[in-house]
Parts: sequence; C-alpha cells; structure tokens
Amino acid sequence: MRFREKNYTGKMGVIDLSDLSVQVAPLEESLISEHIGGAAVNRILLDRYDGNDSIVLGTGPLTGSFAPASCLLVATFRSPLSGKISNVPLTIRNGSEMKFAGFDFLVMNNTASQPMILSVHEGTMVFHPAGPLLNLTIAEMSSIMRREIRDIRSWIIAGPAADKRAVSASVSVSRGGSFDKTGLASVMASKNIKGVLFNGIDGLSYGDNDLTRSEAMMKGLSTSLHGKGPGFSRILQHLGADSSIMELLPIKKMRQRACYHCPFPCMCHVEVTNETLFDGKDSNGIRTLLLTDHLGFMTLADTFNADVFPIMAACNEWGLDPVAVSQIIPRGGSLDEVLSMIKGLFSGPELKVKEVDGHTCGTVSCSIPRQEADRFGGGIPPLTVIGDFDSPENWKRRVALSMILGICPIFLLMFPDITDVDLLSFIDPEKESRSSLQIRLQAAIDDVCRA
Amino acid sequence: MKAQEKRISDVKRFAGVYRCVECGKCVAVCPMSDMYVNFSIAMSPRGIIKKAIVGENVVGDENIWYCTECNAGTDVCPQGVSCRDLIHGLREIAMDDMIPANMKQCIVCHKPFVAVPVEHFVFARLSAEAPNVIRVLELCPSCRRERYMERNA
Amino acid sequence: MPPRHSYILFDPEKCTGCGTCEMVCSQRNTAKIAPSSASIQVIRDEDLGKNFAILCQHCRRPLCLEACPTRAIEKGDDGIVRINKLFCVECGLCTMACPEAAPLRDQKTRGINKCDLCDGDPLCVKHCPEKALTFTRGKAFRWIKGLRWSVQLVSFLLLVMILVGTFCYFTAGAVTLACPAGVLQNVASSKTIVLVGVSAALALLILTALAGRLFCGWVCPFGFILDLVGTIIPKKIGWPSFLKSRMTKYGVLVGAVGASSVLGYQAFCTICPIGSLCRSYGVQGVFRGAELAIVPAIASLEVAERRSWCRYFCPVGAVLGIMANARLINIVIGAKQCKKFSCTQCAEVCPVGVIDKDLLREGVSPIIPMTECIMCMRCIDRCPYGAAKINVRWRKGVPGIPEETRL
Repeated sequence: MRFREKNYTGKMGVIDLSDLSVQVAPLEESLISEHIGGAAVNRILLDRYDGNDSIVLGTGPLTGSFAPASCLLVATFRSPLSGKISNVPLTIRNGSEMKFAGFDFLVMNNTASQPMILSVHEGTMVFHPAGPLLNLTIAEMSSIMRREIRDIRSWIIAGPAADKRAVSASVSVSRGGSFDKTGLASVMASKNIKGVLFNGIDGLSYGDNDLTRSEAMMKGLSTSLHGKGPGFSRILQHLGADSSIMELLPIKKMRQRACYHCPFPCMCHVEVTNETLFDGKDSNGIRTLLLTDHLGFMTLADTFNADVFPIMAACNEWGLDPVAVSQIIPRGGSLDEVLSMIKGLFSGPELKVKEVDGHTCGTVSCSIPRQEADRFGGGIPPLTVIGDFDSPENWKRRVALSMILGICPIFLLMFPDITDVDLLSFIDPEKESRSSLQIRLQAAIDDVCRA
Repeated sequence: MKAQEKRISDVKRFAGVYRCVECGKCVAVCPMSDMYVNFSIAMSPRGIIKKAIVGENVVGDENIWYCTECNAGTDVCPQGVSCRDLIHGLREIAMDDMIPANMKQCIVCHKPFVAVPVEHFVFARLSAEAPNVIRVLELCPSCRRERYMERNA
Repeated sequence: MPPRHSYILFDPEKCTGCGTCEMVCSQRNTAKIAPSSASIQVIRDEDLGKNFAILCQHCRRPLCLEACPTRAIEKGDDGIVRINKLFCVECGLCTMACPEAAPLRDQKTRGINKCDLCDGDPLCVKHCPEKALTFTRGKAFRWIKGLRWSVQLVSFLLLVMILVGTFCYFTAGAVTLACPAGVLQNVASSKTIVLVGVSAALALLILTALAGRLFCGWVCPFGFILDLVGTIIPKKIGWPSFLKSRMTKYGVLVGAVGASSVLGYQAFCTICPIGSLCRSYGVQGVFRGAELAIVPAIASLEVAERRSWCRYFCPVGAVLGIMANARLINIVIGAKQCKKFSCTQCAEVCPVGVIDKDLLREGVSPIIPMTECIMCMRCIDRCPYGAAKINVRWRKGVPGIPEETRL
C-alpha cells in the first residue's frame, strides 16, 4: 500500500533499557492501515508491551510531511498521577526529526541500570551515559550536550526536577517546557532515560501535489487568522486571559517561534534579564525565555503577576510544570522567596500536585473535564471558543485527530476550517479510497477517546 | 599497536585498495595537481594506495594530509577503489592519539576541521582577493555559522 | 552593463524558525523532504531567542569562486553564482572559503548543493509563511540619485548660467549670500570686518551646522562638474600616499587667508575652481580664458580619485567641514544589518572614500567622519539592506543593536 511507503519510513525501534539492546523491526502494515498512526498505534504498542512500564514515542502519517504544523511526536505512557494512559504531544521539531532519523515509532521498555541519554541518528540508536548531566539545569545540559554530542537537531529531556523524582516535573522540549502535565518526565526519570536526542538527516518522500496542496491550505488560513498580535498572546486571548495578564507580555519585543512547517507561530521568545537563573551563553546580558506552555504561563501570571517571567524561566530551566508550581507555592512572596521555594520543592521528598477541581485547568476555568485534558497530557489549551469546539466532546475528538495524524493539536484547534478530509488528502489523494480511510480514522479517534 | 594495525587493515579493506590496477585515472582527475606545486606521485592517490598495498607506514606519512577528500578519484575508479575513504580513514587513525600538527583546529571549539596544506591553499587563493575576510578560516564551519548568527540576527 | 546582483534578503525579526524554506529547498535538491540537505539552513537559538536563516548571498566577488580548485563555480550575468556539476568534485573547499557560512554540504550524502536561487524564482521565498525572505535583483530605481542629480543640475544652472558669478558673492535686495572662504579672505585682505559680508556667509554656515556638508554634495557647481567627470572616467589610478592627507585642505585655507592678508587682495579666489567656473560662463568668461582653464585642469584630477579636489584641497570644504562638527544629523552604517563580507557597496560608491571597508568587513560599524562626508547620500541610496541611514546625532549607536561584536 502506498500509504506506508509515502508517509512512514517503515521502521520501528523496540528498546530494552535493562540491557540497552535495540531491536529494529519493520513497521507492520496491518498496524498502520488499521489504526492510521500516532496516538492510536501508540496505544496498541503500549498494550503489546504491557507490564513493562513502557513509553511509546510515535509519529503520525502526516508528521514531517508537507501538511501544515506536521511536527508532532506523541508520547504514550501510563500516567503516575492518574494511573491512566496519557498521550503527551511533543512539539517543535521532534516528530519530524524522529522520522528523518529513520524511525516512526520507538518503544522504550524496562528500566536502565544508570541514567542514559538516547541519541537517534540515521536509523541507529546510541546510548550516552547521562551521569554528568544529573541535576543540571536545561541550559547547562544543552551546552554540555552541544559540546559533547555534535549535531543535535531536537530533543526531549527531563530536567533536574525529574531527577529528584518530583511528580510534577515536566519534560522539556527544546528549552521551553512542554505540554506535559501528566508526569512523562518522572516516568522517563524512573526508567533512567534522561532524554532522547534526534538528529534527522535523512529524508521523507512526498506526494506529487502535496506542496501545492499545502500552499493552498496555508493561503486559506492567512485570511482566517484569529485576532492580532503574536500567536502566543492570541491564544491567551482566546483562553480568556484578562487585561492584567495581557499587559505583562511585551508584545513589541516578542520574537515569534513556530514549530516545524507551521504557519501559526504559537510560541515566542521573551527577553528576561534575571542573571541568577541561567548559566548558559551570555549575550549582552540578555537571555531569552521560550514560552510554549500557554496554560502554564497564564496560571503563573495569574498567581505571581509581574514576577511571572523569572518564575516561568525557573520552571523551564528546572523542568517543572508551571501549573503545579502555581498551585503549590502560596501567593504574595517576594521573587527570591518564591524561587528558593521552587528550588526547595524538588530538593525535598516527593512532590505531588494538589487535587484540583474537576473543571479547571490551572486557574483557567474551562469546560474540559480534568480527566479528559489529562488524556492528552493536560497541557493543551482548552480552545473551545473557536469554531464548533464548544463542547468537550468535540474538543476531545479534534485533539485525538491531531494526535493520530501527527499534526499539532493547537494548530487544528485554532483553525477549525481544516477538516479531516483536507488532511487525509495528504495521505491519499484518491477520493474513493479516502472514504474508507476516513472510516478507519474515525474508529481510531474513538479508540483514543475511549480508554 | 595491534589494534591500530587491525584498524588500518580494516580501512584498507573498506576502501578496496587491493582491487587497484594502477590505471592512474584518479591521478588524472585529482585536483591536488592544480593545487600544489610539489604535487608528486607520492602525494597522489595512486601513490598512497600503492604504499597502503605494500604495507608501508601510511598513517605516519606526510602525504595523506594534502587531500581535500573530494569525490573525483572515487568517481572515476574503474575498480571501485575509494581513495577518499582510504585517506579519510587513515587520517582518523592518525588523529586517534593526538591531533597532529597537520590538522587545523578551530579557534573556538578546538576541533580539527581541515588539513593544514588544504587550508594554506585556500588561504593563498583568498589572500589576494580579500585579505580581511580570510580570518573566517580560523573557524570551523559550524562555529562560523554560530558566530555569523550572533553577529547578524 | 555590469552583472546584476541578485540575492535573497532575510529579515530575522520576522522569521519564526518553522523551516518551511528548508523543506521546499531540499525538495528541489533531493526530491525528498530532508531539511538537512537544503541549501538554506535555519539556525534556531533558544539562548539568544533568535532564528536565523543562512544562505548563499551570491556575493559580488564570490570567494568560493576563488577557492575552487577545479574552477567549477561561476557567476552568471544574472548575478547568480552557480556550480557547474560537470567540474565539481565535491571537495568542499567552497564551504571553507565562504565567509557567510552558507550551507553547501548535504549532510546526508556529503555532496555539494549550492543555492542557485532556483534560477530566478526561489522556492523558499515563495513559500515562507511569514514573508521573512524576499528576493531582490537590486534596487531598480534609486530616487535619491535622481533627486540629487536634478538638484545639482538646477543649482549649476542657477549659480553658473543664470545668476552669473553669484556663488562667491550675490546680493538680491536684502538677501546677501557669500562664500564663507571668500569672506574669510576678504576679512584678511581688507583687515576690516564687514557685517553684511559675514552675515551673508552665515546662511551657508548655518545650513552646514544643521545638516552637514550638504552644499558640497548637492549644490556646489564645481562638485557637479566633478561628479560628471567622475562618471565618465571609470578607472581610478589613485593618489600617491603622501598626498592623501585630508588636512591639506585646512592648510590651503590657512594659506589662502594668509596670502590675502599679505597681498591685500583675494589671491586664491582668482584661481578657485568654484569661482572660476561661476565666472567663466557667458560673455565675460570668454575673456577670462586663463581662469576657464583651471576647471578642466582640476577636474582632470578625477583620474586619480573621485572628488580629489574636495577630499584634499578645497578650502570652502574646509570651512564647511569645521562647521559640520556642529551638525545635528549623522550618516550611520549599521554593520549588523548588512552582509559585510560580500557587499561593501557603500564604501565603493562613496565619492570621498570615508567609509572604512576593512572595518565593515570585520563586522564593525564604521564611524563616518561628518567633517569629510559630503552628504551625497549615495550610500543610503545604494545599500540594499537598509543599513545606511540618516540618524539624529544624539542617538548613540547604529540602527539595530547598539553594541557590536567583533569577529
């Protein structure tokens, strides 16, 4: 079937961390033709290696292709917080880079004897001992990794908070935190896998009209962009952030950042000037903070007001979930007090998120029930105001669709005009065979939403 | 020492030197003949391959540091001998213990990135044209890229 | 016609680092989506919070072309630097030589893939969602150039042809205008200060004190002649270095004033090329053949350097140069914004040669001595990157980021 050859590299890696062995298996035809990919296939793989406390990293059929925002890597695992299966979206470039590095799915089983970093490169995997990286901030780690392991194009890494087994640790994608609020970082740390690095230098084939199709799709989007200003603040607006939060954002000074092939830059770089936080490269005293986590930022801004940037930077650098931080640290302290308290949090014993109200995501009130949000990592903004995603059910299906196809969920939520048929045309341009694909996709969405 | 000899023989086998028929096509296309005035049979790919076949000490040979590691000889070889892979492998072995004086190191990351004779050639070519620009030759390409971005972005 | 200079302009402020340019480029290079094989690479630096695309700048004098041992690289008439695949042996010396650190090597195959601007219709520019990349073939119409030439022509007509002999001294009703150097000599020779004369010179001095030596670049009729001659004589042979002192003109000024006070008449003014030019038109000009000869004689100095007279000798320029120390505006060239290695067009186009090309190539913004700059604004007109600008004096630094880093 063309589907597999065009949209997948056709390889999956099964890693047994206990003896650091890697098994490269061909991607099963039946698996992807039935379950399409992404979160749905992850689910099957997780069931297959049940009992091994596995983490499955998976890409969708559209990941890395000309489909817009095709950056997504989905990590599926059993959340230590809820005990249920969680699919965490890992953005920026991870999904595409994993495909370019030669793998569609990675299953990580068992536990390594000592902390390891997994480097995926040209269809091979190399383990590097991560002992020297323990308890370092993400900035320090990134400078060491860049020095020691050349050619890293993207990474997911658990910060120092995860090394201390803090349950509210959050995995860090690049330097800007992530949408992980269900404990992927702590699961990785418990399996002694400190991080996964990707260096994708291979290529992926594409369909004849994919580029023109993608361009037409993007052109259509530019007319329907919602609101003005940087993408990050636009999303905050849609989430109902009040003016006091919006005023904190230096709109003029924000440099926008987008994930792989995404026309909507939902992240941004903000300049921060608190030297005590970072130990990275120095550039005229100005360091920047990459903001990716909309919910986290909003919750922190609500709690700490003007101190939000240094605290957010601390969360990013230490690999903590900002939402959990804002719930645990009491309001009203000075910045230094708050920072030392955060530092105290993960130097102490286990840290648990307080039980939160069923209908909030941090301090953002929304209609998405907590357990539904946690199914998708808990950090995807409840953008229910746009289009017809006003009901939790629709939101859930939309996010599940994105997780299966390997498209960024925020992008799909922001642009409701894009239908699953549009996206499936990147897989199968033929109308007749596409309809059966559509049926299987709906079944896969049901699968992901059910468990 | 045993291990090194084993590696050398691995490199030779991987490059396929024993298939060499000494046709000299690689010498004919080798850009080194235009680059260096002291180009000789010992420096040419054929000379190095011959030395490798008879088992002389090629790793310690000065002549392996002139090559630009281009594809020309490898492309034309009727026997599929890859002089590029041979010289690349020999250089890697030579760089195992210490970075020899024949490799130029980046002034920022201290990684060797180009052979000194090759750098001299580029330097000589450029010095007439743009004496101020050639300072970039001190940096390896990836450091150069970072510098360039730091300055311009 | 000289070859065009086509290139892609990149705006780091707009780039989001999405990598669409890499995708479409690699799709052309290798018929696959493989960002690491693209001829444009986006560097994303989370520390600095910057995204930056590096790509071939299609330099005016490409260094890769110099370094290539097989001479496989050539610059076409359309300004595009191409690699002839027939001769390329993929040795990678071009990547070594490239000062712009352009991505030439395919990381997968180790081959050389060079940007050829997609033969004039770059895909990366077409598909950039943020329009951070723009394709340009150089400015087609330079409006400052047109404006300056017409102002120069009009003032030449006015000062030389219509109002004969007026640059040196001219009265129309209550308005009196005079050459400041002439007034100085007048004061020296007559040993009396005539208030009208000084106030007449003030007009030009005030203009200079506000806006620099605008007169020299835009009004001076002799400068117009020099510019004309300079465009006709393309090749410059250069001055011997002992003559290249910009302080000479102050010496000429002191000498002229001193001579006036000794001789009792304005000796220099009789041989001043500006005055000679003004006086030599019309009926009386014919009788002053000797004076008329001064103009072509000094204009022929253009063979050595453009505006040689203005650079080294002109006492009027010396007076204005002293006044220009008080000017309100500066010309600045922000090296951060430009492609200093490959371009330096501003330095080449500067008629008085005050832009330091070497400094520019090191990535440092050159400080332009406004006492020497004639405010012709050729650099502003020519700069394709918008790095040359007029800045108010009290604003420190240059456009972009104030602090500069050296290589």
